[in-house]
Amino acid sequence: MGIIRVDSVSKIYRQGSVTFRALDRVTLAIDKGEFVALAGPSGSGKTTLLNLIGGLDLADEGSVSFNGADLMQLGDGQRADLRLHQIGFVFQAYNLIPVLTAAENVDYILMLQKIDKSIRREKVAAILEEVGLTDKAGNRPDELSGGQQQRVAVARAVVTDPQVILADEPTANLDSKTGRKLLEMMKEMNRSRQVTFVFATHDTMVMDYADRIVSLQDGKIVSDVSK
Amino acid sequence: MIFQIGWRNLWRNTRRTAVILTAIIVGIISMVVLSAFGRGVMEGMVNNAINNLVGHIKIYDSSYGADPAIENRIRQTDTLLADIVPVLPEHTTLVKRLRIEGLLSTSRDNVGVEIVGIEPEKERGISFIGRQGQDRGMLQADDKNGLIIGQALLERLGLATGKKVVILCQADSGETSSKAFRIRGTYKTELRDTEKRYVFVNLDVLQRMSGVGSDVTEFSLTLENGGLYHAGAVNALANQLHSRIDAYGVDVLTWRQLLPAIRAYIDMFDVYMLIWFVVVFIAMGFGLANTVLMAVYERMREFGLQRALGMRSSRIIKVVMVEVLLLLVIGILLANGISLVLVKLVFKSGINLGLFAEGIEMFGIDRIIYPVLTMRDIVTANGVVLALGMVVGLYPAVHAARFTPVETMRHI
Repeated sequence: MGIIRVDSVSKIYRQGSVTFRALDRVTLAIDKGEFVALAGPSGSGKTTLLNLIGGLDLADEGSVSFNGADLMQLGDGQRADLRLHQIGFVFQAYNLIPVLTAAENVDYILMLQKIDKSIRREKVAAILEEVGLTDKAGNRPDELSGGQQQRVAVARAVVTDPQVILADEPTANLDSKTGRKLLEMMKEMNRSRQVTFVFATHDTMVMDYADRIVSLQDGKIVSDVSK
Repeated sequence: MIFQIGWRNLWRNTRRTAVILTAIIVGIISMVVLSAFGRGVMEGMVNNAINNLVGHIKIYDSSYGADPAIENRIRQTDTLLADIVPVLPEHTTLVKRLRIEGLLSTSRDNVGVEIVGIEPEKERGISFIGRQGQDRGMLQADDKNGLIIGQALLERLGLATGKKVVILCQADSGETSSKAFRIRGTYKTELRDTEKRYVFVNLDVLQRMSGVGSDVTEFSLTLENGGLYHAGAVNALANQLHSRIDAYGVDVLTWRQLLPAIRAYIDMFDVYMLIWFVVVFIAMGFGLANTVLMAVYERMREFGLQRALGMRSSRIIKVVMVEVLLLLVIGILLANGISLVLVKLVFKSGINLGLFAEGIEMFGIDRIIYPVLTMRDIVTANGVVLALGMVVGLYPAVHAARFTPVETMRHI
């Protein structure tokens, strides 16, 4: 049984009398340690699917399970706890809290987990070293480049030792060189930490790094190919 | 870290924070300084009323209050004094007075007056009659024929210092007693009616004239600190005296009991001040709510991000409320500092209401108002701002907590 299980899930948006099916009876299973790309053009439903997997939104039909727990049965607070402890997020933009430094942004998530200050200090230092940003620890987001900001976001996502990292178009605002560096770092984390990565992307470079590409179109899975 | 984030968020938009801080500061200053002047007016009124032959505590016969006639006088003066004096706090002044209704007669006119027998040297600094300047003429302790008259009465009767008048009153025997006095000087008070009401002679002269021996109609006590803001000391002494001398059949009354109109006015003032505070806050509160709401909407994506990371709604509320709290605390501290400077330094010499002098004197208010800062007003003003500010801040805080990650991440 996969760490993530999506069973015949649909997500319907209504605007007045108009109904739009963002996802249409999608079924998917993702195992621990996979590096998966949800690929497709804009409007294909990849971000919607990512949001459902991460418990940021709820399906209208079907079920989404994370480690066997049906997300539909969890309350708002329980899903928040799930995201805090088991899922990491990396977004396309606006990843970081602007008034906190790089180190503080990483530390913030550990503080939310109520981890002891001395342990937090060690973890933050270690992860910033892993992503190559030790010298930028005291810099605020507006003092970092796009790539550096994304690396801080990845550091924050990984520092809590989550089971899954969900990344929504993480390379969209980066140049190809920076994007490649980011992906290599994530790939290495996938290998060394066995963290499951799920990307929503239309970037072919991301797809090159993925072990499995799930293609969506008009809210349906049209192909699911493992390399 | 929540306070750290709150503090830094406050200064993300320095101009906006400065504007709302200014509103808070101006609001609190208006509350504190205005209430200080209001209290100053009250204190002036109370002191004038107390000086108007009331004192902080008055002792008279139990029947005197309902019927201020000579028959209802204190008869065991010396023994009563012997019981009173030992319990008086340091620097308390006790004066004896004999007050009798009578007639002042000149060659051309007769007017009803209240004749007050006093010990002139003891009245100094206690009542209005004791505060008259030497230029108005003084009553000496050994003066058997001297009389002090109100300026307004002097003018009305067309008299002058040095002229003779005759005082008539009812003696204890029931017979009419009369005596000629020479006007030694005049007194002036805030109210012309007061000046037309009282004439002052030496206590022993009036006692002989009325045949009451050493009896008096009242003792008046003035404490070193017994005014408007020292009710505790006055009440404590009154209670102590009451239990000590109750057997003499006398009443021990504080100025609050003797001046119910002033007391009612003071109580009303407290209510007015609270209403003023709330009104000022309502005006300030709209600005505060609007500013915080704007800040929340600007950071919509940030709140969405925090929800996505696993922050619960309650924590989001806490984050926003901490910012509101910091804003209020900074405003309160600065406002109180400025208020203190204004009251203690800038307005140290008071505000001269000379232009309105004639009108306000009718109410027993002094021309120059000195502000009086009380801890109660400071605490109330700050408390209203802090408490209502936090309540007002709840709306944008709850709003922020309601942002879902999905809708905010879509927001550009």
